[in-house]
Amino acid sequence: MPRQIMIDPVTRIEGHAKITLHLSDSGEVTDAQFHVTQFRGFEKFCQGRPLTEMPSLMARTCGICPVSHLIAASKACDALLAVRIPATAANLRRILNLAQIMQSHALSFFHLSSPDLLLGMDSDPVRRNIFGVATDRPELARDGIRIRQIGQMIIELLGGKRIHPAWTVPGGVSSPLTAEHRDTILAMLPEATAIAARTLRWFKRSLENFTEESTSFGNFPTYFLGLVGPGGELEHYDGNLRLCDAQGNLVEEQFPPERYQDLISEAVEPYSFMKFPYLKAQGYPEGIYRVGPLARLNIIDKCGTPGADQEWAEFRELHRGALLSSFHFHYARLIEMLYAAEKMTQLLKDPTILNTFVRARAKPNAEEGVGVAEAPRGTLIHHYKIDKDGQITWANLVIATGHNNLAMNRGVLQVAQRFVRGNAIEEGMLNRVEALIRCYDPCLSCATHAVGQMPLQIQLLDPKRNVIDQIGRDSNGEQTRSST
Amino acid sequence: MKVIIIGYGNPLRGDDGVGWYVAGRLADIADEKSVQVLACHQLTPEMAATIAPASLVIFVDAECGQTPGLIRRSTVVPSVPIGAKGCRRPLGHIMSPEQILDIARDLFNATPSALLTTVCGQSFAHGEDLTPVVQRSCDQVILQIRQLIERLRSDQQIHDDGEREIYGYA
Repeated sequence: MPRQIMIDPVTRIEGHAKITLHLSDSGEVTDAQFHVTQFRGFEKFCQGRPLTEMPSLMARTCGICPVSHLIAASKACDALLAVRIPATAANLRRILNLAQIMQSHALSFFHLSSPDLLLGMDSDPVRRNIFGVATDRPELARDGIRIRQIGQMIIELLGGKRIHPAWTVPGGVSSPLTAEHRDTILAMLPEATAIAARTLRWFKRSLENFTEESTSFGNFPTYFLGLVGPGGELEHYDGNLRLCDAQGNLVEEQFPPERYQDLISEAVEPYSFMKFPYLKAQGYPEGIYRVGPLARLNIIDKCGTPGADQEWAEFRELHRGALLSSFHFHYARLIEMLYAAEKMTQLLKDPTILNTFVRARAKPNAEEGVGVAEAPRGTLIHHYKIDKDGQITWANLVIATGHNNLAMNRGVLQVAQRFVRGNAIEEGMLNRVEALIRCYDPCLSCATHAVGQMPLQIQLLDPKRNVIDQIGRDSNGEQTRSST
Repeated sequence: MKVIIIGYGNPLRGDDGVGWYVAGRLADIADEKSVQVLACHQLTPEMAATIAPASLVIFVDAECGQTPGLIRRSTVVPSVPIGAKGCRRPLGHIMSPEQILDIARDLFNATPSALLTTVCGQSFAHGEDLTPVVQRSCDQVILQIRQLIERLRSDQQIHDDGEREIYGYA
């Protein structure tokens, strides 16, 4: 009898979700769905708020990546004011964004994914977590803590607060950088650079242990989207959109981000609160694309810092054309950590970073504004409309994790078909399904604009979609099973 | 002795902002080195390094399911070492006070004393204000923490131990 497996909750990701696997009579996986089961609706409750509140309000979308929302919201408000912010303010925002990317990637890699990579996908789930890593490789765990701490300290030094800094405002930033804070940050960055570099060395040595995962973890052709600088270089704060196909060919080049609605549209499915963005020209669901670290490194011509450029060249040698396996999100994440540390150093060594003109002031000069930046997980779009009094009448957020929704669903199916045998379900099989999701480091708080922690469940359904078997974890992490 | 007070929660969800309220009103007792007051959305792994140099950590959080305004205090202790038992709780981006203490012990050989003070919330709806009953309890918590800090200071138990070198590895 055909059955369905449900993984609920998915662990070691941000937010609440579950996975459903549909099985044939013989136990083969025939379909898979990644459900996001939380709803929040920031787009609705920001209506009626003055635009000046939007950066700090939008930063509350998520406790994990508030800086990304702060920056995209500020850029959207810059557009509503129709101002070009001072160059120093743009670079200060750029540093803030890079610090966020560095610390966020550190959490994803060291805290959430390194247990799979260090201890093995099939290792005892009781130990397959950061505490197991701390026991087996304390220096790796300390590195993870330290580089994340450095990123958080930079955010705090710039923004005043780590979680919801209010320093970035429409028109620029609220205060200039002091020489003392610049020197403090510069003193920490060599250590961050060294940690990123040695983690990359360790990861590259470990790659040979994961050849099966790297060939079957979301390894399929898609388009790749992200911002690039004017010279095609890696760019997280500004620039234009570039879209490449699976062969690495340019499909769209220097596409103005404020015209994103000409490029992508959003579909909805009844089984998830997370929307399904797709490329309009290719249609739904053929217009599947990926964003985030892997996409960014697939679309660029160079990183723009010495260490990262060297690593990127090696990374691109893994495959001709775009690197398709989502397993390599981890690799790309580490290169971006190195880039972030190097790029922040470059920007802070420029004396103009201490300029005191950091804010352009204006009243609302446009009815509509779009702000786009690269968040740790990919391209983040904030789009607002205001009335004559500058109050928000409409908002649309296209979130990094949402862009990857189609790819995550297809990836879950691929991993499940490769590793799950419905007649003899083992924990390691389910962990691989979860691990595929972790490659994307989804932030479902952002994607649904909700807050939470993501546990995982697997459910078996018959052809009429009746649940006949369910495997999950309780609040203590104990596996639970209920059959009918 | 160094004391760190960490208030955490979501200040946009009504009484979930207990930790922020308490931390905000205790900010004046913080000094350069010996008393540190932090407010955060959630506990994250790098806080293990933050608390490692401390002798006492006071976590302040909201809880639910009890009488609104109920104040509860408990001692927080790290769990048994991973090698003996492991961790069964599902891990995400956020951590519990116990897990922060576990990491501080496992990675930094630090075992600060820790207290968790919770105030039971009444409403967790969207909004930045605490309900009156919860705010009254928070004011009580603030007073108690102030008195504790004053007592430790007058007994000269709080002082700057200096920064502990915890990253001295290659």
